[in-house]
Amino acid sequence: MAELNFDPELMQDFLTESGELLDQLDQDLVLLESTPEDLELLNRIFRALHTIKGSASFLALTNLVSIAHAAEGALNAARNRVFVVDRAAMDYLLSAVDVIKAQFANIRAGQELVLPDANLVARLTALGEGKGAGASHAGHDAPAKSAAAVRSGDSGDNAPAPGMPMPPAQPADSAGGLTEKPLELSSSKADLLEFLVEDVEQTLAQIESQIARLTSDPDRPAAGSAIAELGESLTKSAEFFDFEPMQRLAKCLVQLGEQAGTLQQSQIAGAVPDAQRVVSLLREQKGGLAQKKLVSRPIDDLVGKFSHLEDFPAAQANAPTSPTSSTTNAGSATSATTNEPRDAATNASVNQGSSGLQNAQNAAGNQAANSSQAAGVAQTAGSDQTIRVEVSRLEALLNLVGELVLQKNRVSAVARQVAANAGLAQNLREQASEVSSSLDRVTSDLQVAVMKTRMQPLEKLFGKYPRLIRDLARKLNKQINLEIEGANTEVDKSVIEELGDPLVHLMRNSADHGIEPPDVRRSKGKSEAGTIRLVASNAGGHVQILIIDDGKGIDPEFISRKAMEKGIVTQQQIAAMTDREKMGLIFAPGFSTAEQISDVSGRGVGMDVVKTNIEKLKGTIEIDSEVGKGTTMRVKIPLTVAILSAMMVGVGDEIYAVPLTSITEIVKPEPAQLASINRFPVMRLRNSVLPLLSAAELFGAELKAQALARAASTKATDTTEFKGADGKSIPVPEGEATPENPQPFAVVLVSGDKRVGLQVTRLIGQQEVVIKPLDRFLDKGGPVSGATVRDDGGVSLIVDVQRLFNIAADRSAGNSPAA
Amino acid sequence: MRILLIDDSKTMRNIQKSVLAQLGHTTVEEACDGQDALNKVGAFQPELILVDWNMPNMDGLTFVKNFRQTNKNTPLIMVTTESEKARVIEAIKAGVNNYVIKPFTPDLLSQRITETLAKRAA
Repeated sequence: MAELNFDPELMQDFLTESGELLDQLDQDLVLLESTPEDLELLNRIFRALHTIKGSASFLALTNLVSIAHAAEGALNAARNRVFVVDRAAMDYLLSAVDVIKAQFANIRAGQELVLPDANLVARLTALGEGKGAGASHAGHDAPAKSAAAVRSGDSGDNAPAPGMPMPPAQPADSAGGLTEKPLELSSSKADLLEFLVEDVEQTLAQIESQIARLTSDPDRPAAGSAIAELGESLTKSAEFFDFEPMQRLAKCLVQLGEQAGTLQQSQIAGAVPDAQRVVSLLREQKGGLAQKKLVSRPIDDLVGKFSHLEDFPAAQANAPTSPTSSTTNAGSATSATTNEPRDAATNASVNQGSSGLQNAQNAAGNQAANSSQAAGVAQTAGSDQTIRVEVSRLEALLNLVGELVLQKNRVSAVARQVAANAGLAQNLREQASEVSSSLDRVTSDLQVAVMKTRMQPLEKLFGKYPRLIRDLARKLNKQINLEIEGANTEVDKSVIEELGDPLVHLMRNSADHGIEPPDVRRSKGKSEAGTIRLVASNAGGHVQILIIDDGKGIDPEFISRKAMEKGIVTQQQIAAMTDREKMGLIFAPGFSTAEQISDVSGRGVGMDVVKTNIEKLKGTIEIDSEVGKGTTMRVKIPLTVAILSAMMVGVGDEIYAVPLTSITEIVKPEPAQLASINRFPVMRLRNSVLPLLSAAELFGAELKAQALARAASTKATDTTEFKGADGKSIPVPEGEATPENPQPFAVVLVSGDKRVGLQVTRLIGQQEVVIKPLDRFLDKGGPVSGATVRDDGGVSLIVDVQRLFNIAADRSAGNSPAA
Repeated sequence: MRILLIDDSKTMRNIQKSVLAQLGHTTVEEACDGQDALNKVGAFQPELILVDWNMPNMDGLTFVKNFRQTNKNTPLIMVTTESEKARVIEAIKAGVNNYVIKPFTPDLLSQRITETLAKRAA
C-alpha cells in the first residue's frame, strides 16, 4: 500500500485548527457541566473531538488518536443518554483535553508523543460503554428502544398487524422456482450486511403498514408517497449491494407508491395483493441475506405488472391471469372489503418522521417524491467566509495606514493654506478643500477598516476563564459561578495579547481572596456559591471590563494598616486618603494581603504588575469594594493603541499631543481660581480642587516673549470643540497667551476618579496621531509616551497622561516636585 | 475529474486533497458543510463528491438527502469512521454510492473511487 506523504503544512494546519477546537472544547465542557442535557452542546463537543481524531488518524498520531477516541466514545455515550455528565465524568473529560493539549505541545516542540495514561483511557472507555461514573443511567433509554424494535418487528415478521388484511400465502410454496447462491461481497460491503438485514426488515414492516392504508381514499396519497420513499431507499440499498432482484422488487413498490394517488379504488384493490407479494418476496430475500445467501425466484411477471399499474382492470380480482397471482388475488377479494375499518393506531405509529413531512407535502396533490425538489435549492448562507492572514501583514498594513494618516494630515494643512490664500484662483481654492475633505473621509474609513481587521472579540480571552474558575474552585474547595457578559466586545489584537495575564490575575484574586469558602458564606447569610461576573462593554473609545465578585470585599482599613506595616505609606498619608485611595494601595509594589501565600494568587507581587501592564495599554484600573458585599475591579482599555485622537497643545513654541480620551474639559482659569497647597499649585474648578501641572515646567519649554511670538505665527486649526474622554463635546475656550500669563489654559485630564489640570500656552486643535515609539534613552526625558508627525510635518511628543497623574500623586504625598 | 470535497475540518480537506492529488485528481472544490456544498454544486458541477458525516450546520446525511432530490446520478462517497459504520445504511438509503472509512490510504480511496465510477458507468 502506498504511504501517505503529506506536506508539512498539513501538520501546521492541523495544529492551528485543532488548537482552536481545543480552546472551544474547554469552554464548552465547562458549560456542559452546568447544562448536561444540552444536546446541541454535546454534539458540538463530540464533533470537535471527532475532527481532531479524524485528522490525527491520517497523520498517524496514534497516541493522540487513542485518547481522543476514548473521550469521543464517552461523549457519544453521553449524547445517547447512556449517562449524564457529572462532575467526576467531567474531570475525566477535562483531563483528556489536557492530555490532548499536552500532546499538541509535544508535536509543536517536535517531540515524540507519549502514551496517554492508560487509567484515564480506561475510565473514559468505561464511560463510553456505560459503566462509568454516571452508569446508574445506563440503559435508561435502551429498553425503550429495543421495545420499539420489537414492536416494529411484530408488525412485520410473521404475524400481521391487527386489522391488516391476511398476507398472501408465504411464497415458499415449495415449487416456485426458488434458487439459492452463496453471497459474494467485498469486505466493505460484507461489513455492512448485518445492518442492512436489520434495516430491510424495518423498512418492510413500514411498507406493509403503508400498503394497508392504500385502500382508504383519504389516506392513499400519503401512504403512496411513503411507500415510494421507503421503496426508493430500499432500491438504493439493494443497488449498493448489487442485489439485482431486490432492486427490481423495490422498484415495483416505488412505482406503486408514485401512482397510488391517481389510481382508482378498484385498481388499488387489484394492486395491493401484488404489493404484498412483493413484500413477502423481499422478506424472503432478506432472510437469505441474513444467512449470507442470495435467494431468488422468477419475478418477471410480477415486476411487469407494476410498470402498467393503470392497466389493472377493476375486475381483475375475479380474473386471475397467472398462477402466481391467483393465490394473491384470492386474498384480495376479501381484503378489498375488510380493509376500510382499519386500526388507525397501527398506521399512526408507523407514519412518522421525515416520511410524515413528505406525506403532508404530497397529500396536497400528487404523485412523486420529486415534488419537493425546490426545497433544498434556494440557500444563501455560505460559511467558509474567512481566511487566515499572517499577523505581520496586518501590522504592515496598519503601519502604512498610519503613514497615510500623517500624510493626509499634511495635505489637509496645505489645503487649508491654499483655501485661505485669497491670492489664488477661487476655483483652485475650492478644489483644494474639496479634495482634502474627501481624502480625509476615505482615509478615516480606511483606517477604521484596517483597525477592524485587527479587532478580535474578547471571547478569545474570556473563553479560557470558565475552565480557570472551575479548576480554581475545585482546588480551593469553593463554589464559584462565573458569569460572562459582552464577550463579543472587540478590541485590537495587541490589546488582547497584553490583557490576558492581567485579567487572569484579577480573576484569580477574586476567586482566591474575594469569594469566601461555602461555610463562611452560609454563616453570613449568602448563598454557598459565590459569583464572579466578567462584564465587557464599549464605552466611547474605550472598552470597559468589570470583574465583579460577591465575596468578602476589601477592607480599606486593613489595607492601609498592611501598607503601613510594609512601609509603603505613612500614617500621615493614610489620614489624608479616601477609602478608594486606600484600596488603591493594593497596587503598590510589594504589597500582599493574603495571610497565607497560596499557589493560586501567588505572593501578591501581581497587583502592581497588573496595574503596570494595564497602564502600558494606556488603560486604567480602579477598585470599588464594600466590605462583606463584594468587589468590583474596573479596567478601561483604549480600543487600539496604535492610532489615537489627540488635542495638540502649544507649550512655549513647542507643540505636544494630549490624548483626547483623557481630556474631560479645557478651561481658562481666572486668577481667583488659582492657589497653592504645600507649595504646589492647584486650581479650583467648580466644587473641587485639582492639582495643576505646568507643561512648560514638565517639558522644560521656554516661555519667554520671543517664544510666544514665534508660536503665535503658526496658525491653529479652526476646531472649536471636540469629543473628550466620555465622548461628550467639549468647547475650546478662546484666549491668547501673554508674557505675564504664558500658560493661560488648563487642560483637565482624568484618570479613574482623579483629575489634574495641565497648564499650556495655546490650543491648536484636534488631530489623529500615529504613535511612534521612542527609543529607550529618549523615553527617560519626561512624561511622554511616544512621538508623532504633525500635519505641518513637524514632530510632536505625546504626553503620557498616566505619568502626569503619578507626578501629581507624588506631590500630594508630600514628595519633592518631580523633575 | 471535478471532485467536490465536503468536510468541516480544513485539515481533513487538505489531507484528502493531498491523497487525491497523489491519485492525479487536482480539480477539487471544497465545501465546509452540507449547506456550503449545496450552494456550490450548481456552479461546480462535480463528477464525484466525497462527503463527511459529522458537520455543523448541515451534516453529510442531510446534504445527501437534499442533493439527491435534484441529482440522482453524481456519485457520492461517504467518508466516515469506524464508529459510524452502523449508520452507513442510512446514508446508502439516502443515496450514497460508496463509503470509505477514515483513515484511508491512497490505495483504498483510489479503489473506492474506481469501484464507484465503474458502477456508474455500467
